[in-house]
Amino acid sequence: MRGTIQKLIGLIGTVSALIAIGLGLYAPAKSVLIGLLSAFALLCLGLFFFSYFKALREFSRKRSTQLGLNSLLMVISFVFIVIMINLIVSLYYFRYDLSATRSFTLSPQTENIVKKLDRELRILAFIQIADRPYKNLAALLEGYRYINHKITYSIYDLDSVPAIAQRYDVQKYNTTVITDGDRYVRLDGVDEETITNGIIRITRKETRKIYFLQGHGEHSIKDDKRRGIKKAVESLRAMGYEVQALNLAAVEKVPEDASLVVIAGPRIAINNGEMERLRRYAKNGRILLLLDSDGNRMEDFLMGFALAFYNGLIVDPENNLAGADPTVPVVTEYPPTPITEHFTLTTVYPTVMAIVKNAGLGMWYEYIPLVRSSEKSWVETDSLSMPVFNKDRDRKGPQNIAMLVRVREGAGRFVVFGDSDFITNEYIDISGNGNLFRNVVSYLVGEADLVNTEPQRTDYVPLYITDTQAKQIMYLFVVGLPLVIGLLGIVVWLRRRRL
Amino acid sequence: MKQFWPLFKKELRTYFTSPIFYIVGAVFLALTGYFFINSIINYSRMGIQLSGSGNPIENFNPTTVVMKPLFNTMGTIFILLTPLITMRLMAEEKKARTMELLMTSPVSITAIVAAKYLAAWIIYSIVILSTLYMPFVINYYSSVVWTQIFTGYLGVLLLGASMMAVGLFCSSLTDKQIIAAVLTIGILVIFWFIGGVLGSASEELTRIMRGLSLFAHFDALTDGLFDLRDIVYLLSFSIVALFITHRVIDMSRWKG
Repeated sequence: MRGTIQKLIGLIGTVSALIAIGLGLYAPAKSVLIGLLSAFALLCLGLFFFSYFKALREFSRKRSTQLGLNSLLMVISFVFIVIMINLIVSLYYFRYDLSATRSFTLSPQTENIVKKLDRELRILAFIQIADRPYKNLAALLEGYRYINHKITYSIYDLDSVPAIAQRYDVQKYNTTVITDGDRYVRLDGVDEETITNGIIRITRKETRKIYFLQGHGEHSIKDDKRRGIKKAVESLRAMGYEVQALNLAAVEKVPEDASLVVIAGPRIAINNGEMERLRRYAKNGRILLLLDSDGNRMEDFLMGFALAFYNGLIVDPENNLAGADPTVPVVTEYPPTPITEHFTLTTVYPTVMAIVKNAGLGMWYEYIPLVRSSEKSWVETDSLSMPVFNKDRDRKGPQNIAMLVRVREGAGRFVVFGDSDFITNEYIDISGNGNLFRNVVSYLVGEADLVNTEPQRTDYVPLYITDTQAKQIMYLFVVGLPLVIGLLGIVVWLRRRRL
Repeated sequence: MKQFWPLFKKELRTYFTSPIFYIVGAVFLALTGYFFINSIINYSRMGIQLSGSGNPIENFNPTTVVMKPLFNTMGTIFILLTPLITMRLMAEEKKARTMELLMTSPVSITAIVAAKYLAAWIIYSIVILSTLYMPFVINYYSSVVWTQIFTGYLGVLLLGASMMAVGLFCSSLTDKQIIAAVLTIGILVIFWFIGGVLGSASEELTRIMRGLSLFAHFDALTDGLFDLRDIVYLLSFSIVALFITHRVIDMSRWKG
């Protein structure tokens, strides 16, 4: 009877241990449950081990049969006990950064933000796996988990997990995805600043609202056909933004809760009342203008900001989309702006106008070109089917495809693109179009509450030694010390031989 | 404890009166010394080059650039030197037929295992701590961050505890020292490189493998991270190896 109870306790302990290990691997955020299960398993296995070990010792004095099997059982239960101890320690542990570079210490801003987390977040990092980057990233993410156990993380090799990468639309290395239930944010970069800002965005209580102006033939946010922009809108929703249509004719002003107004390819004129509301909003609000040559170019609105479009389209015979004509230029290099600083993906613009700033005007604004066509491009004013550069009529590249305008004495910012088609369902998935669109939106939405963390850095510590000093060290320690020990060995060996 | 001390002292005496301790010490100090002098000369040169480049130099200090790789080198060298310290511990007793004497004496198996293990670890620690001149030399000419030096040496000593336990276990399996030595190197190499399956395995498996890797835990300590999990893992590894050794010796008592 006693033996049966012992075995039952051992079995219960083993099963609990296995469940705890499984939870530790697949649901590490359930730290309390894992801790309780591990402690229970440890108790059961400890009881089994000590009572059974005692019996085994008595048994082994009598006979040696079955000793091997029982020893194996003891070893297995002992290993499980040790695993449980390690599992509990992995949940409740302490660590101190005693390194010279303080590279395991997260910034105080990150610590404050992560400490306050009240729900489970999962960080997925997609990198090209190699020992050093993996180790550094694991150390960084472990730092987040140390501050708050509600954070769990996984580090993936992007090439090894196509299904997971596709689920989160990850297309390049060094991308972080932070998930909160079904919602997620996708971020370029795997550094502390990026991850902490991602956490802020996904945990923000009030959702940032983005309004898409409708009613003037703009691309529809619900249209999933080629001309629609449903894909682009869905990607914004996946980033945690709330997206709504805006009918300016039906309201007195742009809604107060608007973080951004997007005007995507209007076809017909916007009436004066609506235009006035937009102008008022532009002083302190954020607008993204995506305008087409064959639609409403909003010239009156842009004129107020000393901007205009050249007549004609940008053509680029050398940098254009394969299979398309030169009116679909591609861009591979970007100026170092707050939006495009680390952006390296190719973007494609079907029939795009060039933006020009009127010289001498616009002193209240700051103009930053975001996307520029190549040196080989020009603005074609004649035949688009057989474009030839005419130095008298055409404008030589590079030309501005997108421009960021900042109000100097106000919070107003807007970005204007000379094309809206690049975010349609047809083009949004081509190379980096979607990424650039989302980068622009993130910037305009004004993540003002996001933190700016600098990695921990320490100063250079000089160590200069002269040739003489190097020789001294070498003779004393590299040659001298081993020689003395070796001689001692020879003496010991000789003395032993004499014995 | 009464049974432990005489055995422990006898084991230590055996080490000091045999040439093996001096050979291990001399070879280890010559190798690490060579790496040390090369590292500081390179550091000195790189410092001059970087200063001349005009770029800001950050996170470039002798503790991280010289001492940290040296700790890793110490660990790697001891994968090969561990068997020299441990291969004779049990195998020699078996070969000389003194194991039967030990087994029939009133000394417990726990005392035998503990005495031999601790003696081996003390020898290892003496060899390792004889490299302490390195941070002092650097500190004489420049400066070191002593906290990271502390975690580095703690890591090397805990790694040694695991290595000695594996060596003792392998020695308990056979009466041939060469087999014990090869087995020890084999097991240590596996647990050293087991975390290197990165990219070729699933995320969960990678995590398990890194969790089991001796190197991953040791490496974190040499980086200057004092993490209870790494310390507990390295101690657990030693304890499990010692427990298995205990069972192997106990079983061999009855199998004859």
